[in-house]
Amino acid sequence: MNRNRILFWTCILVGMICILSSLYLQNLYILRVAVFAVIAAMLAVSVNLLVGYTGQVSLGQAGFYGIGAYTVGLLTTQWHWSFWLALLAAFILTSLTGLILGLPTTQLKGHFLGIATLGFGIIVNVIFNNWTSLTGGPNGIRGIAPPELFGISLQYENYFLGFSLFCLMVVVLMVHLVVNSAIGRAWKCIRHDEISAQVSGINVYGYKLMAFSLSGGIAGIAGGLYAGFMTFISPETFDLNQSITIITTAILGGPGTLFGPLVGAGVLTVLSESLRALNELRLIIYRAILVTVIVFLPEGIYPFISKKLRKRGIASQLKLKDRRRELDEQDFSQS
Amino acid sequence: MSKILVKAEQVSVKFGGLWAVKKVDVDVKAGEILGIIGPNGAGKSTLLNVLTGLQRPSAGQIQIDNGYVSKKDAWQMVKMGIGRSFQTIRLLNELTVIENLLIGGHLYTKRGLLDVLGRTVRWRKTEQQITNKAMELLQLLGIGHKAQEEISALSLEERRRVEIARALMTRPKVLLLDEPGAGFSPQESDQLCELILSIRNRGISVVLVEHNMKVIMSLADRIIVLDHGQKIADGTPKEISEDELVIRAYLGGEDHA
Amino acid sequence: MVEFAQTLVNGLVLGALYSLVALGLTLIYGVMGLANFAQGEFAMIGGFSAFFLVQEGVSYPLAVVIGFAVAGIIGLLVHLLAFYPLRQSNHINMMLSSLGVSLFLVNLAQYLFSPNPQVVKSPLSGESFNLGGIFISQQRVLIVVISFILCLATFLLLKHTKFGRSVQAASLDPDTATLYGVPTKRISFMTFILGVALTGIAGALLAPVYNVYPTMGISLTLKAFVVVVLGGMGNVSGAIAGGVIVGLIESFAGGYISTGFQDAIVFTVLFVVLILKPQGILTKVQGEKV
Repeated sequence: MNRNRILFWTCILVGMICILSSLYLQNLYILRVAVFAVIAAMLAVSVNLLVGYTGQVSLGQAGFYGIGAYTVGLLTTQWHWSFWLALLAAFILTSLTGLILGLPTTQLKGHFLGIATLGFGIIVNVIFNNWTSLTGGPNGIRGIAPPELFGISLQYENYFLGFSLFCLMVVVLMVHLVVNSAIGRAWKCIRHDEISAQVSGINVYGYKLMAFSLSGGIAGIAGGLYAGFMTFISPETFDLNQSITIITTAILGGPGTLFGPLVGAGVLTVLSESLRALNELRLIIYRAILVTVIVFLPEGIYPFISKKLRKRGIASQLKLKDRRRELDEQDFSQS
Repeated sequence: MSKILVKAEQVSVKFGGLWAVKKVDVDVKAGEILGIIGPNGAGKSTLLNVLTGLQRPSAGQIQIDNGYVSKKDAWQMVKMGIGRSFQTIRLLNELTVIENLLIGGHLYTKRGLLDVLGRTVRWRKTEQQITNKAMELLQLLGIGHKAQEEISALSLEERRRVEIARALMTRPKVLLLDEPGAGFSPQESDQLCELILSIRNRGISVVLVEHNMKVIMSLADRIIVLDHGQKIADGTPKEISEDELVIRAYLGGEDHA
Repeated sequence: MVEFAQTLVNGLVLGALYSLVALGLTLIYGVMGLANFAQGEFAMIGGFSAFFLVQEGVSYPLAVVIGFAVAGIIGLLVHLLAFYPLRQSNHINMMLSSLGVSLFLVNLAQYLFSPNPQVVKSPLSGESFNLGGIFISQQRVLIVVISFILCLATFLLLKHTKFGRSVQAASLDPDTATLYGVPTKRISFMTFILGVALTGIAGALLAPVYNVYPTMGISLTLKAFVVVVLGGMGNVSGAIAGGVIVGLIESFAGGYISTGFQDAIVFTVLFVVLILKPQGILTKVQGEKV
C-alpha cells in the first residue's frame, strides 16, 4: 500500500465514523446546525467545480439550489412522487439547467460570466416569487414529507444528519475521482490557459459545459436535501445573498482543493453561530470578517493551513510523491 | 512525390483593416521540414495560428488528409494530427513537467464519466500508457530527471523542450514550431537542430518558423518566405538564398518595416 | 396616450439614474478591472446623507452636494481597506471582496438607520409641470437634467484634461501607462472616488422620488451592470446610452407586461445581448490576438 492509498482510505474511514457518530448526537440545536453546514458544504463543493477547478465564476448557484428544492417540493406534494425519485429528478433537471445555462454563457469570460450567472439566479428567484400558481409565490411550498429509508423516517434530525453526511461523502468521493483524471487535468488546464488546452486536444467548450452541468446537479441535490429536511421552502432561501454565500464559502475554504469547500463551510458555520449572541451586530461583524479573510487570505483557509502544517507544498503533492517514486524506479531501470 | 498532409489554399486573415496574411498557399508534405521565414510582422505566427485552428481564416481553405477543416476548432485539428509550440511558451507554470505532459496526452485517455468514476481497467491502462509515454519522451529529450520539477523552476531551454514534448504527446503527424530557438545560445541551437531532425526521423513533418538563418538553412527541405502577409518565395534553401525578392525584403526591409 | 407618455417619462428618469450609476461603474471597471458590486451602496450612502441633512434643516441642493462628498470619502476608505490590498490578486477575489463590502454596508445601514424606507423632502417634490395633460414632477425633471449635466461633464473631463487622458491610458494598458509616467495608483484611487461619488449624487437625487432604504443599492447595482454590459465594459458613452435603454425597457416592461417580472425581463435582455454580442451593443468588435 502506498501513501496515497493510505490517505484515501483514512479519509473514507473518518467519513464513516462521522456518519455513524452523528446517529448518536442528541443535542437538537447542534444537529440542525450540522445539517445546514453539510448542505452548505455540498453547495460549496458544487461551485468549487466551476470557480476552483475550471476557473469559471458562478454568482447564480442559488438558482440551481432552488430548482433542486422546488423540484423535490413540487413532485412530492403535488404529484406524490417518492422523495428518492424526486431527488433523482432534481439532480437530472438541475444538471440539464446547468448544461442549458452553460451553452451560451461559457463563451463569456470573467466578469461577464459572473454577471450572466447572477442574472440567471435572479431570473429563477423572480419566477419562484411570481409564478404563484406553480410555486406558491412568496408563501412557498409547505408540507413536504421527510424521506424514509429502509422504513426509518429521516424526520429525526440525527438520522437526517447521517444521511446527508453520507450524500456529501459520496459527492466528495465522486469529485475526487473526476478531478484526478483526464477530466480534472483538462479543467485545470482550461483554468490556467485555454489556448494550451486547445492545442492539447481538449474540447474547451465541452469541458466547461460538463463542469457547469455537474456543478448544477450537485447544487440540485443539496436543494433536494434542504427541501426534505425543512419540509418547507420559500423563495427567499434561494436569493442573491445565498449565491454569494455559496461562492464565498468555496473561495474562503480554498478553491481548487478537495477539502477547501468543507473547511469553508465549517468555519463559516461556526463563525456565524458564535456571533449569534451579538444579535443585530452579528451580520455586520460577519461581513467584515469575510472581507478581511478575502483580503488577507486570498488563496483560502485550507491551502494556508496545509501550507503551514507542511513546510512545502499542498496536500495534492502527497500523491505526486508516489508517482515520483514510480518514475525514479523507471529512471534507474533505464540508466 | 510524397503525400501532402496539410494543404492551405489562398488563406487570408484580416485584423481590422490590415491583412496579416493575404492569399497564402502552403503545402506540408509527409516527412519534410518546412521552414517559414520573413521579417517581423510578416504574418508568420498568424499563419501558424490559421494552420492550427486557433485563428479562423477570413478567406481561403485548409485541407488535412484531403478533408476541408477551415471550420474546425483547434482541439479538433489536434485530433487530426496537428501539434504545435508557441513563440511565448505556453505551459502551466504551477504544475510539474509530468503533469503538463499528461495534459498533452488527453486524447489518448479514457475520459468518459463512467470510466473515471468506476476506475475501470481500461482507464487504468490508458493512464499508465500516457504516463509511460510521457517519461519516454522526457528521456528522449534529455529532461527525464526534471519530470517532477515545476515548470517555474526550469530554464528557458528546458521549457521549450517540455513544450515540444507536450506537443509530441498529442501524437502529431505535423508539428509546428514557432521560433523554438529564440534566445538560445549557439550550442543550444545545435542541440535543437539535432532534436528537430530526430523528430523528423520518427516520421513527423515539421513546420519551423525561425529567425536563426543558420538553423533554418541547415534543417529545412523547403522554405516559404512571407513579407507583409504575402508569400514572396517558395523553394529549396539554395533557391531562397539567391532569390531577388527575398534579399530585397530582408536587406531593404528596414525602411518600410 | 397619457399612459404611454407617463411610462416614457418614468423610463427616462430611471434611465438617467442608471446612466449615472453605470458611468461610475464603467470608469472603475476600465481603470481597476474591478466589477464593483458595491456600487449601488454608494447611492444608498448618498441618499441617507441627503435624508439626514435635510432633516437637520440643510437645504436640499446643498445636501446633494454633501452626499457627493460623503460617498467619495467612504469610497476612499473602502478602496484603501478592501480593494487596494487585492490589486495583485485575481479578479474573482476583487469581485468577491466588493460583494462582501456591499453586504457589509447594507447590514451596517440596517443597524444604524433601521430597514424602513425614509422620505426625503425636496422643495421640488410637490411641484409639477403640466404638458398637455401629462404631469411631470419637477424633481424628475431635475434628475434628468442634473444627470445629463454630470454625464456630459465627466465625458468632457475624460476627453479634455490631463487627468482624463491618464484615466484613458490606464484603462487601455496600465503597464504601458506606468512606463509613460502615468501615476496609475493615484489614478485608480481618484477614479474610484469619482466613480462612487457620482453614484452618491444619483442616490441623493433619486431619494425624494423613490425614498431611501438600506437595500436600495442592490437593484441599482444589478441594473447598472446590465447597462454596462449593454454599453460595453469600460465604455463611457456606451454607459450613458445603455442607461437610457435599460430605463426604458424596465419602465415599459413594468407598465405593459408585468411589474413582478420586470426584473426578469431586464435580465433576459441582458442574456440575449451577452450571447449575441458579448462586447456590448454599442462597441465595435475587435479581433482577439492569440
